[in-house]
Amino acid sequence: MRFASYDYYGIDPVRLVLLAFFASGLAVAAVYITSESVLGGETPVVCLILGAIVMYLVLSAPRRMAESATLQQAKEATILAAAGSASLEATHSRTRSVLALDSGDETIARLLVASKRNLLLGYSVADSLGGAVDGTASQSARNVLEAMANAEASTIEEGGEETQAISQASQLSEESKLPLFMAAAFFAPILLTLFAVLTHQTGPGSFGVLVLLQMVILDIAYYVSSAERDKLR
Amino acid sequence: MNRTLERLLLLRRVFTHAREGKGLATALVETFRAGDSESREVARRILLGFRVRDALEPISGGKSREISVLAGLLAGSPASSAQVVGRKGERLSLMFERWLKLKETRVMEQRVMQMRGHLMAAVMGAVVAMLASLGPLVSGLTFSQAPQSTGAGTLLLWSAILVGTSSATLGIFMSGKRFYVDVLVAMAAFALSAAAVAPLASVPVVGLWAIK
Repeated sequence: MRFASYDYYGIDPVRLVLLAFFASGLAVAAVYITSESVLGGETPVVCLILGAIVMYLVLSAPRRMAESATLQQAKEATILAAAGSASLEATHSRTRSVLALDSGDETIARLLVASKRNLLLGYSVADSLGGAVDGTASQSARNVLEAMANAEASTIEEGGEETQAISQASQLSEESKLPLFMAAAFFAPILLTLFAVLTHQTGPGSFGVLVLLQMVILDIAYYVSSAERDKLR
Repeated sequence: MNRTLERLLLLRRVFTHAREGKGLATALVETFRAGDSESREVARRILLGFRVRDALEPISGGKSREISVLAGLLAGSPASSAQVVGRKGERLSLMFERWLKLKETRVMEQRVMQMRGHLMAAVMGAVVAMLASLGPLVSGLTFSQAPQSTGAGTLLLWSAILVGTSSATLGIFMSGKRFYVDVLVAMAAFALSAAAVAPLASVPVVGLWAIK
């Protein structure tokens, strides 16, 4: 089984699954120990749900990180395309154009530094940019760098389509997840108060556990719902 | 108009002039002397004989990445060709304008979301206060014979903590740094609702067994 985001970050899937099991087990154990006295028979169900969510969060973390990196690099691709083609059209030198390239994205900037070093060491433009092409997450950035390496200035075009597509997808995803967070934030205190009242668990210790449980629930809901918001900022 | 958008339009005018073959310095002075104080500083620097790269510093060092990129492109034009840079920069500025307008729309949407967050916090505070105030009454209709461990005051206090933490998280999500507004709104609604429902909470409870 292969996942693009795992490959991009060089993560071993087996290790990540083990880490997810460990994190999930830790969360389940913590919740079970603290809330067993208050939740009673419902504790295993609550622990199971929380454990599953924590596992999902750990396993999907590389995907979320890769999506953010892709959006950032896609934005940079438009700038690289404009600067690269202007330089190439004016100087008619691929080497000089590559040496003049710079990027605000950390990954692309690092790859460009390595490419420039190779160029100065005497490698061809295509060979020098080969590593940079393989190291980018965004298809647009890859296309721009490939065009810089192989083609004429007129073919280095980037209209921001990938950026627009990722932004729209993130916005839709954010809109879908927003009700989840709102429901969690709105209903958690209501239901926990009702639970405390109906089960007579109104002592300071019991209520303290319920406050902790609410914070765990809200924290998870916040993390799940805010990934897209961070990306779009 | 948004200041970033205004500067972007000024820079686009410079790119247009450059594409048409006008000198960069002339275009910068003609265009930027009509802008805000930092834009006028750019024009002043050109007139004082600064290089284009140095003259553009007041606007290129700002927060906006879009303006920095366009200024950087303009600053690099003496090394390539002003006409080519003008053509590319014009197209890039159009794309950036689209992005900036999308950002503006998003800011407006965020304001609506903040308002929704305040309303939600108020309703949540009121509902939890009602539940907590009527808690002793509800738990008096006992379905189990377990004794009640604390009074109404403690229940209200702990419910207020539940509302506080929830509204703070809601506020951080909806309003960012101004999350305290949601907390204040929720607490105010909580206090008002608790005060309004208090007379009901003092009604003596008749046990279900007694009714039978």
